[in-house]
Amino acid sequence: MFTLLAKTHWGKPDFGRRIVWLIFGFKLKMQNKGVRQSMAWLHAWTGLVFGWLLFAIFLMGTSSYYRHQINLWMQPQLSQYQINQATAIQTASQYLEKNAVDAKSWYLNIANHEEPVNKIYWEKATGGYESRNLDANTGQELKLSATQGGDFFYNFHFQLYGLPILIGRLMICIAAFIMLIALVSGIITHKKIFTDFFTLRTFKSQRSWLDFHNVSSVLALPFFLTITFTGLAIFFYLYLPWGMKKLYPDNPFQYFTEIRSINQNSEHLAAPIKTEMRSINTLLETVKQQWGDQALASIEVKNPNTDHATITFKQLEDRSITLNQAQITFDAHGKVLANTRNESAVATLNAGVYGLHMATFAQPVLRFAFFCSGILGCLMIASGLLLWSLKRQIQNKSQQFHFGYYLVDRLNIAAFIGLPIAMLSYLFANRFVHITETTPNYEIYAFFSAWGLSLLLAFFTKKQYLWKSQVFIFGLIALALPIYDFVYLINHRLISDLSNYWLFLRIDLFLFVCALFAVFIFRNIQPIQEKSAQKIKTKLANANNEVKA
Amino acid sequence: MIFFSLLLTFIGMFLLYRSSAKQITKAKATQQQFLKRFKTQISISAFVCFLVALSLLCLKYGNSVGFISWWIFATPVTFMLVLLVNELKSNKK
Repeated sequence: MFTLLAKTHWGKPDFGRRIVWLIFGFKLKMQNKGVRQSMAWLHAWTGLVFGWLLFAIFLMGTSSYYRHQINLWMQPQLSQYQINQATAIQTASQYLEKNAVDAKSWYLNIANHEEPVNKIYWEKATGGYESRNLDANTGQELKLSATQGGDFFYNFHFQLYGLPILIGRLMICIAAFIMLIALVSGIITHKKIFTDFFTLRTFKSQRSWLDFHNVSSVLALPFFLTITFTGLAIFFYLYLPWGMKKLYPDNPFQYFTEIRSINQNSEHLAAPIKTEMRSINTLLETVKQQWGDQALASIEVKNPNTDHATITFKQLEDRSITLNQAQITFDAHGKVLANTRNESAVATLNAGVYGLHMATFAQPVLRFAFFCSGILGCLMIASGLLLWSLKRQIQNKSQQFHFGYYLVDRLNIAAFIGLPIAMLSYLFANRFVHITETTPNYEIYAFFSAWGLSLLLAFFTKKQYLWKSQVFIFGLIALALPIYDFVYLINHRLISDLSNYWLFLRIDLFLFVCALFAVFIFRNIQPIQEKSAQKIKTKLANANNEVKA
Repeated sequence: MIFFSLLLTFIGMFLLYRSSAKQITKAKATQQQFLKRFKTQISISAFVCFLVALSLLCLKYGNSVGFISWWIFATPVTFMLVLLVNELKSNKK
């Protein structure tokens, strides 16, 4: 672009002015416009440029509310496990005593009904970490499928895929920042927030899309503002790293250790000495005396088998925004220590930002409401982008082919229908191939292949069949997957009773609802398209009449 | 408790919808007079409904989570209301 610019304009007397116009073009363009019009321009263009990425982030993030459930769906053999947390703790601690006796720290994620496997990792004495998945009943190492499960969606929504983590996260930060700008400019642009609060006029072409965009935005506005701001604030250290670098010049990431817990070892100046610490099972008895049969989330042991050892038990249930679920910390001799959690204002704010974004406090019904708000966010972005495209096609007074509109239309389809198709393909692939540590991850291949194919198909499909063809594919997969899943589970004898089947059925039912939604869109998209086409034709006819007159 | 708070939120939103300026003009003549006369009272009762719903949620979840859960619950409830009160079918001639 710059080469072309230099060839065409270089050496001309007004070259400098043209460059300034190009760079600050929008500023000059906005000079004669009011605040609201300028904001509308900003809202439309920031929304367009980042809309597809934001849609992917929103959809993946929304799915992540149920990532543990998706994990379990994608590892069906785990549904067979019966969990007893006392046994799970005993077997895991025995494993750690045997295999990581010299480690600097142990971390045990205790098996529970949503994650029926003990996940352990430890920091080796020589540096670095090791992790294992253990059978909660026997303590044997498990060779699970190497599927990423719901974690793939979760990771994608904050660091994308296939990019260096830092670059991916920075791109997400920029997108979140743009989202915040789009939200604020949208609020300023929207003249009748309260008057049109309940208004939704359907089958009225551009007006309907605008109404739907307004309704979906305004209803969940507090959610959008919160989720965007907290998402941006979580990664503050990427775009504002100087504070951490100044306070912790040697290791800026020490901040994360200190923000979580008060360092008990600061009192111990001497190096830790090997000693026999109180066994985890004995400490568990004390924990049970205090908490009863409350389910536990994790056990963290720092400096195990030394006189500096600290053993922290955390409860599973967390009904706080600031992630302060109940915890008990013991020293090596089994003495209960004072609270080791960092409860300073900054630490609480930090935990609150995380808590609000992750919504770990949300119980099933509330979690579902969060999920609905996330889906509404996807609908808001989709309707905004469709509105952008339609509005410009109506305003365009020529019937000539316009590459920009063609591209936006195709990218819209690839994002709004192609991405859900890709997500379903990812789930479908899980039922066809068993992935191990050594084989390539065919599920992720399936995800990106389906997404790419959807884009390719969109480029070669006529506009009138664009929506119908892709919605049909989506509906077909969404309908076939639950049926195939049922057959798969029966064939592999993975259903022992109804409660066991419910772990799969809840996702299958959701897919079935998606299929019904696809049928609804398939049946109603034609009248919507006809209405829009009619409006465009009328505008063109009017424009032609004006020219003739 | 959650069901009641959702119901109260729905009722509150419906009252706000009925007392909105747009709806008053669309209402039947008999209703119009009533809505015009008691517009403030209807709005106040809507906010009372919200307050009770919020209090119920605060009782269940605690103050901070209760507060957040109210506006999180209000979103799908209001969206349902919007879908219910608006004409969604195509007017085929």
